[in-house]
Amino acid sequence: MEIITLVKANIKHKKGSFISIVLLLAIISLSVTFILSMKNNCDKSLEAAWEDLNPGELIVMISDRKMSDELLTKVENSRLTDKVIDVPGIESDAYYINDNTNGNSLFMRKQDNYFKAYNAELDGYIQEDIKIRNGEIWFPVGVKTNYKCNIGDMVSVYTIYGHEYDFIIAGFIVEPVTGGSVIGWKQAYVSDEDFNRMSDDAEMEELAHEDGAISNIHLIHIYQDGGCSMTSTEFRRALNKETGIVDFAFGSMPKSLCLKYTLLLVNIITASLLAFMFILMVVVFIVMGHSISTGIQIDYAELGILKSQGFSKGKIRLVFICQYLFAELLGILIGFGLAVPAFLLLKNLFFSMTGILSSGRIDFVRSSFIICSVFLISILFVLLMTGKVAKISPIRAISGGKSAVYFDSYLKSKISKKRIHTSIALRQFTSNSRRYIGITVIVSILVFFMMTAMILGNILNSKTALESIGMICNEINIDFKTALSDEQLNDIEEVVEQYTPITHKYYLRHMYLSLNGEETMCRIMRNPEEIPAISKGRAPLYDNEIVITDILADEYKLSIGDEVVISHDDKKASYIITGYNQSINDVGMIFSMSLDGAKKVGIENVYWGAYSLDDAGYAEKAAADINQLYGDLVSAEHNEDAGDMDSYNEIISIIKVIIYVLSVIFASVVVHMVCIKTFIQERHDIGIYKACGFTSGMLRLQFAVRFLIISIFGSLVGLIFSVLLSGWTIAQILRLVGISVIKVSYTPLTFILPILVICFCFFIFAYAASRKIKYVETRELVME
Amino acid sequence: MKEKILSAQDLSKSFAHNGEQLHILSHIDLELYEGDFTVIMGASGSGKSTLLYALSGMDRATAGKVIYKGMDIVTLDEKKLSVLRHGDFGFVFQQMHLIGNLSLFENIVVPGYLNKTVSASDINARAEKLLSQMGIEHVKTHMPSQVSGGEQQRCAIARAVINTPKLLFADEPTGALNRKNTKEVLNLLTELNQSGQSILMVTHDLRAALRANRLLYLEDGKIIGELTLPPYHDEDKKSRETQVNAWLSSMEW
Repeated sequence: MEIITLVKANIKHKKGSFISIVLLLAIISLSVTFILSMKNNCDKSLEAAWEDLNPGELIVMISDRKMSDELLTKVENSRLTDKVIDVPGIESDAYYINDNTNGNSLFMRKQDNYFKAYNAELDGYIQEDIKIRNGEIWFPVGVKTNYKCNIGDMVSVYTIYGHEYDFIIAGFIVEPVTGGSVIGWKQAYVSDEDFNRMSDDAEMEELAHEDGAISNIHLIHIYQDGGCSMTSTEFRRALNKETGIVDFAFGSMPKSLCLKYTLLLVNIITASLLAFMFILMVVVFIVMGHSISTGIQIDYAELGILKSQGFSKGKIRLVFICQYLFAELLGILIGFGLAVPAFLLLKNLFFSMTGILSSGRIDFVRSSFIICSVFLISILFVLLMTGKVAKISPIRAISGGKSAVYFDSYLKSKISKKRIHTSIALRQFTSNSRRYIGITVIVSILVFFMMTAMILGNILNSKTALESIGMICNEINIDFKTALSDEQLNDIEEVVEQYTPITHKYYLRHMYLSLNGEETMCRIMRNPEEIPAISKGRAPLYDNEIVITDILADEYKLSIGDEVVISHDDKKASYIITGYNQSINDVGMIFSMSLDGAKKVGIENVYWGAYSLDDAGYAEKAAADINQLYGDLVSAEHNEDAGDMDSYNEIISIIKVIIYVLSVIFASVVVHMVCIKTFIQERHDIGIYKACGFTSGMLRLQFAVRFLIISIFGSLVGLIFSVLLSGWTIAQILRLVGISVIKVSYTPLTFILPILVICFCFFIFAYAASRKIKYVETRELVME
Repeated sequence: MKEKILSAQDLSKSFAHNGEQLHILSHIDLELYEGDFTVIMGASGSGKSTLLYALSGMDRATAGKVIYKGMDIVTLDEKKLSVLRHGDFGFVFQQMHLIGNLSLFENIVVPGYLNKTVSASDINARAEKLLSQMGIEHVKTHMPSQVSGGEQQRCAIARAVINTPKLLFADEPTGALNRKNTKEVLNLLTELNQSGQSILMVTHDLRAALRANRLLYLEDGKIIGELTLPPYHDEDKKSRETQVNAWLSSMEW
């Protein structure tokens, strides 16, 4: 009973600290529950959508020319497969949505069993039967995200011979295979009549030209035998070994990779935010530690009195534990409570990235597990921090308590008349710097995170930085209409160089080839010396050389000097690995070789060119000139955003906003809490200053300036951490998208903005929290 | 004829306690004169400190006026009061109340730095002079926790007079000191008074009261007695003591 009485009294007496702990824990618990629920829902909804549409364990795309009944039968008869569905499709490399294209392939198919559409509001499904009409096209949501298009917008599909098929976007579909915004390939549905018309054209085009703009393909949905328990990539490897189907395909999509790529952005966001939450939890512990130790200092006399009245150190510690744990528990419950409406409101936050509606179930189990672990750790922490209670001597405590004793310090700063408030504030900091270690650490953590988020944003917004991580940042795209000779390409380059020098030129194609039996993305470059971001070794200059990414090297256990076998269709050749490079294509699972090297496995040409210009301002003019002079050979267009990082920029913006908002909230709560304690500790000094003629305004300013100094000091520590660790931290995050080595790019704003935000918050919040100074009366100094 | 520097008119101070009004000061009329060393005495709880704080503007009276230079300081806002505190008034507390993280020298100069009409070098020079006058020059760079109570109180007095106040208020300045330090502090106050400093001091201590040339006796928030003495000299200490003792006896002290 006496414990409850004391706990109640303490909470009533120290409402500020109590509310702050409740608030911090509520934020943590709300955020953790929200983030885990979002992740869990995305995982489960995508899995459920996959099960619902049941597209199989592996989808293989094979050109009609390379498809044979023999191959299909082989696959059907494999002991690894349960069933195989051969769906006719049309591949287009030249489609435009509202006159924009990203150059990725579109696979059009007729309406079939896999068709499930969203309503116009994209918050539910169309229940009625849909019959696709002529001129309509249905896309996955990822297309809407990437092209910012809507129902009713125009889509044009071209052939090499200038035929144009115009479609209107009739709606968006549930598409767990290629629906994610990060997946370049997209499937779309058109009417049977439109499909057949295009298919006939594609056939004609193929007869005249090996690599047409549209071509007939087969989308082979392969279902794994129930007796097999392989992962989908193992299944692909084993099936290819047995039947060779992947070698004949120009692409394949195993279930696990589709799910991985669809959830890529979600995983990056949730992993980054959970890491941030973990650090915020550390911040909460620091704040609690500060609160407990200053609380013991402030209540030193009272604790001595309690001891003299027979309270054991165990009982006193129990009071502290109950008090803090009650605050934590309350915060956790409030956080859980707020997570429910927050989640229901924002459950489809990642819809534009995954293209799948969330089921809206909160992940209480995993959240509770994490929060309970934190709760248990905090019990140990409070026990540890309250160890000082044992050392309180009743006699010493009662005879005047334990006031802060200041001695000369090397850090002692001069008090000057000119800058009296700043110099006094600085003295208050330097004369008791130990008291501010915790808050300095907190500031440095917040600033570190804010700077890291800024640096991440810089990387994705700077052409040089993007090139350093293997991005091809081009201002002009060139689509070849036919195979071009070196002379023809030189003529085209000359058109551009009339305006501005070309800093990098790339002639390339991306396609899947089998590397040691694993279907892997390959970048084939006509000019291999231009392969970007070689981090080790050298470019593949001879026809038996390749470079691989270090992520691929890790995954396939390969290194420089190793020999690999690359196969395509029925051709196969050996190559030596000459170096490592970086690329975000296929999240880093990519290798590169020269066109001469590719010719050894039957690939004769590349069909895409890209120019990075010295002066991007001439891109539009140069592209127009190319089209005018060489329109029969190529189609050129200028690229307004060099480097296609829109989707990544979006997530970085989300992460940045969340980190900044949480940092500001934490800064406000931490400052408020520390200010309250500091105010109690210094109430006496405040009275003295007032008696000496200082006004409340001056003292509030001093108080705020002191916290400004602390925030500047902490920010500098954060800056050092950032210089030392941000690159490493970002590399860990970007590894998820295929980048393992980054060149950190700083701008003045990288440092200035986080420091300004934090320092401004500390100053303002400290000034606001110091309003109680107004109520300190000089009369309090009187000894009656 | 001495010049009046501060006057209280019908000054009252009361608190509400459990729905009841407690009258600490009741309709006090008082005038303080330039150059006087005035002492307020009285039993515990008689309202001595409350009167001192009300007169100095550290606390606000509930009713009445405190007139200084034609202004009623009861109605002054915080900004104007702060100007009085670092300009015209000085204050010495019983518990010294030095700022713990400032050295003795800095404790003295900080209120001086608030004074915009005097340069920093002048303040520093005056502080050095006061340190020497107070006999604490040798510990000027020490922190308060590193010096004795007497040295702390001498520092507090130097701080109170750094801006050459018109009136120095002292609330039991020797209350926390031993015999030796008490004597030293009283000598300092007497010296200050002899150099023209007007002082209003609250004390219990007869030795302190002997230094005054005017004694007021407070009982239940009212001034019930006043004694005027010639300026203090060590030689007539004995006769002053007899005179003050007799007066205090008549006040039933």
